[in-house]
Amino acid sequence: MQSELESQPTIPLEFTGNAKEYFGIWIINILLIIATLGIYSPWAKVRNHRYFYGNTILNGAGFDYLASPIAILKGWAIAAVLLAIYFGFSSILPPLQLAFGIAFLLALPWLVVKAMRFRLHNTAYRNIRFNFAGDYGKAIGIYTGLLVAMPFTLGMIYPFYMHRQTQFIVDNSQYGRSSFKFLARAGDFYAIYMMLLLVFVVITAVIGGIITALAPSIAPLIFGPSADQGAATQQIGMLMQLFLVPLMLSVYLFAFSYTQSRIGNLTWNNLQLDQHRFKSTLTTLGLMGLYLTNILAIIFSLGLATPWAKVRTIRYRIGHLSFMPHGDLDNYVQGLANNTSAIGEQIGDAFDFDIGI
Amino acid sequence: MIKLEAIRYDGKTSAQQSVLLQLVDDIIYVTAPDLNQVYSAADTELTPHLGRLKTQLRFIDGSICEFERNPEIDHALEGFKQSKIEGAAFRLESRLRYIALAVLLTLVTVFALIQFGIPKAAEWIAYRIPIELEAELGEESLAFFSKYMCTESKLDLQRQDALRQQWLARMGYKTLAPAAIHFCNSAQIGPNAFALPGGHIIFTDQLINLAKDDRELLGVFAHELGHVRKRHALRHILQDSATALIMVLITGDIGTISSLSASIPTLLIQTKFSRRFESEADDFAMGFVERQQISAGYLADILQRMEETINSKESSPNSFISTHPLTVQRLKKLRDYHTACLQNRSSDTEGEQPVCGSLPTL
Repeated sequence: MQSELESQPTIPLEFTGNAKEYFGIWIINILLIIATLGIYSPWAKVRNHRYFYGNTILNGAGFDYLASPIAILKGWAIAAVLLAIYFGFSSILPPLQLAFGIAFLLALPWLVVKAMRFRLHNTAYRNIRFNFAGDYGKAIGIYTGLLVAMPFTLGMIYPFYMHRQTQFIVDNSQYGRSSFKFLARAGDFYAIYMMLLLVFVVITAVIGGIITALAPSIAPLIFGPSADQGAATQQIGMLMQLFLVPLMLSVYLFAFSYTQSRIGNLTWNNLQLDQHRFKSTLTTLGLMGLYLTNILAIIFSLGLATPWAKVRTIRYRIGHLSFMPHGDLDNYVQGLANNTSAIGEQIGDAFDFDIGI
Repeated sequence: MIKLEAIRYDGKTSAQQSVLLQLVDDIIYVTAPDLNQVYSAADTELTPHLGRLKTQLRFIDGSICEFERNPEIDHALEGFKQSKIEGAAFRLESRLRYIALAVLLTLVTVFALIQFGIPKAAEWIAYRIPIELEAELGEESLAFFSKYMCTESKLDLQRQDALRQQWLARMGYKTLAPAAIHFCNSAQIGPNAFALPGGHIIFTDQLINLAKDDRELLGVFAHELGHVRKRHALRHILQDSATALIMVLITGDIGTISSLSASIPTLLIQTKFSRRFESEADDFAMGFVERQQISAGYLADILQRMEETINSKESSPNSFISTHPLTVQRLKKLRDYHTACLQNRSSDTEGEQPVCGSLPTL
């Protein structure tokens, strides 16, 4: 089996879940969350994660999500209490809001580190766990430092921030005792965002120009002839406002799909574990089509198409991801035992944002 | 005895191994050419059944065995440590009737939440936000009004001030006062009055001129004051925009809503206040005027005249007086209130006389 692996250049990842199966899980999650006034949420989260991790197959084995719902419940309960204290005090003493805001900014890196530790330690592949070794000291420079600097640079350091953030997470992630490495540079991120800005400006200018040129002729067709110049201007204004919303939405969809595909590819293509690499082939148009059809389906189904959309999206992303092994896959050794039932991590989990595969 | 083929991962390295599992009562044997392990069910964790995922037995030594689950072996697996909660969830997830039930229940709950929960939440928040914070929203709405809806009032300035004095004098000194009372001229809107965020009240010249008695205008003022007191403008915005509602719920900051949506003034003007809001404002107005010893019938009279005037021209989309049946209901309620008030007064021979206005002379 080993020699087969080494001679195969790429192994595609597979997603083996389906919408019908997941719909049942999803709707029962909602039912039980409503029926238990939210207490079932940790179990719902665990089942959701296990379903998607477990159906992601790499080289014949799936991924495991091992978190205990009780542990999550404890962490969330504490986080809820902290938030309640924050809201309670800040409404009584508004000046406290500023103090809390600053405290939150300082706590953010801590929460990110804790959430990553909880998530990675509870993820396993072939019964070897992942780990996160990042520490607060490194995190604060990135999450607090760069975030605070953001407005001062008018957002110009945003690609730099993205690079540093991804590098921090990847370089500190481990499988067994081996570390991941992030090979991309800040410049790669800048290239993507600069291109986006360029395309955005060009598209807005072109379409804006077309609408401005055509509006005076189209407005009377829709609103009827106008009495005077003032009314005509008003009509043109209304027409442009009418088109503005769908235009902005489309541009936003494009920008979002563009960054998701480019950044996604950049991240995976530059991820290295020992000598193994990944290959990601997401496309802007592919994602745009996916998101658009998802949104329409969800709206017209009153939300019931959400599980279908989720499965579809994961299947698309995983379908465009493959693994390029270079060497032995059987030699990964379990990391040193570290206890992550610590409350800090469970609280961090409450603030965990789904980065997604 | 149950025999199963499984894949074993020993938890020490990432290598996999094909093994044979044998369950005999509550003992489990894991065997392979170079392996012979024995475990007890009580020490072994069984991962919950989820979709078609392979199930794992997680042993006390950190190794796991993964196999395909099927209904025949479920019975034999009962002795293992497993989550009752997730077991129950799986039974619900895999039966169509429970899924259908869940869909129904979810739709009903979400619908109820939207119909009742949102207005309640909007009300709860609105009362907790000081009206001063609505200032920015108010400014925007006023600007929209003067730009698109009406022009400068043609009313005599003295008349404007006299009315303002009249009305403000009637209010108790402790009560929430309107931020400002405006007059403006709009043939487009016709006779009407509006309560905007921030406590701004606007009367059209056409309404002032339609009144046959200043007591009628006091009634309208009382009605608009009701909108201000009950924070209807803000509640309207919050109810109609779930996004705005959620944002305000979380941040308590309504300044951002005005920047969030440039269409809020349009929303306020183009869509009517709900029946409920009009009813609340009417209730407030009725109590207010009768306490001033003025009949609620005056408000009813001008309401009726407004309806007739507006219906006689092409119906304006900007009217706050909505459909006929609703106005008829409101008129009846206002007049009945006055009648009931008089009856209470005459029938109550002992104790204090309830305050009531006298009938309007037509």
